[in-house]
Amino acid sequence: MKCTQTAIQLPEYSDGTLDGSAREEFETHLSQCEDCRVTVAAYRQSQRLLGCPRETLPAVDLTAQVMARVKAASSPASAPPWWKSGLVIRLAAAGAAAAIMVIALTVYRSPEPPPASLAASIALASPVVHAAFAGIQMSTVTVQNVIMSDGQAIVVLREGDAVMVLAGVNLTTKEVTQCSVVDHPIAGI
Amino acid sequence: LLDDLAVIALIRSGHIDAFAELVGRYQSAIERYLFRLTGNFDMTQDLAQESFIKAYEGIIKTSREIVFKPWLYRIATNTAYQRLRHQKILAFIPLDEDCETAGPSGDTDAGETKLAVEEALLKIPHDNRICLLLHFEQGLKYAEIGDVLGISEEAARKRVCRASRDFKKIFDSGRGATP
Repeated sequence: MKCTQTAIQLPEYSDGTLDGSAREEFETHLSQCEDCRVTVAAYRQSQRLLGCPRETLPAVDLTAQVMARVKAASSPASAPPWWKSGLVIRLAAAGAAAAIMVIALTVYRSPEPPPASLAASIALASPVVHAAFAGIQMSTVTVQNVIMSDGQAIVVLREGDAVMVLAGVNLTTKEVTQCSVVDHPIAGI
Repeated sequence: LLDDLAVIALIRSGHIDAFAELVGRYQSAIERYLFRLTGNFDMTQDLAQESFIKAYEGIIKTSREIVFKPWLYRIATNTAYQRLRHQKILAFIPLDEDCETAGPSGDTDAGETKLAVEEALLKIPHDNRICLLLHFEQGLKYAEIGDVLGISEEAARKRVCRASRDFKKIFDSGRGATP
């Protein structure tokens, strides 16, 4: 083992998370290297002296202050609180890169309002699928509010959102009235 | 619980209230960090608020992927530097009464240790001091420190190791111990 490798593994060694054989190799190197012993001692001392917060700051509601400024700088016609009306669906769609995706969803009128927030993982088997939407059976729902992030697509549907619905050969716009996600939205499609 | 990336996606889709979630997640850590840089509570509050506002503006102005935590520390560090330079405050972490909050009342050893830590930190160059605070106090990994400071992970690792050796040497000499 070289000194460079020791330095890389130092945090794990110091935290006690370096596993058996790696730890043995690390300690063997330490027994032979004065410079690394000094580094380890210094690291541990810094960890001990700096590792726990020593200031207890007075509690100030920074969130309210920040959000007041954020909202003041934003349009008054901004979206409603996301936890009240949001339906968040994360799709495992590593291959999907289009700004507009056609996703697999079954959306239906629900007697109950949507939960405060709902996150579900849905395997996206195909970029084009059929779904039932607001009484239109087996139509294709195109959701435009898709953001790619770290190989995943995040789709946000809210009440009041307009979605593109392909019924037969006609592409029309429909408004989401209430929405929910069924247990297996892609099953059978 | 949505991760930072998902919350950022929500904000970008128009749900600005979701930003409150990010503020709540990082407020305490960022305040502690800024307090360690400035030693002034009022300035800490002001800088923290300014940092979060800059972060929000950055989120909505760009569509690029953001790793929020190191990015926020970078904003906070730069904001603190700008303010301190502007106010011509050369010494970070002044030893005033604002810093005398550690340890139970009457705990002389804790107070002395704290003073020795503060004095040792003051004698370490700014960049290395930032690395020490980010790694040991804020718990950032080498790669995250690299993101904050715009340097490589390897460079961040070397700075942390060098700074911790400097810190030990200065702290021990101040306490009368053998380095």
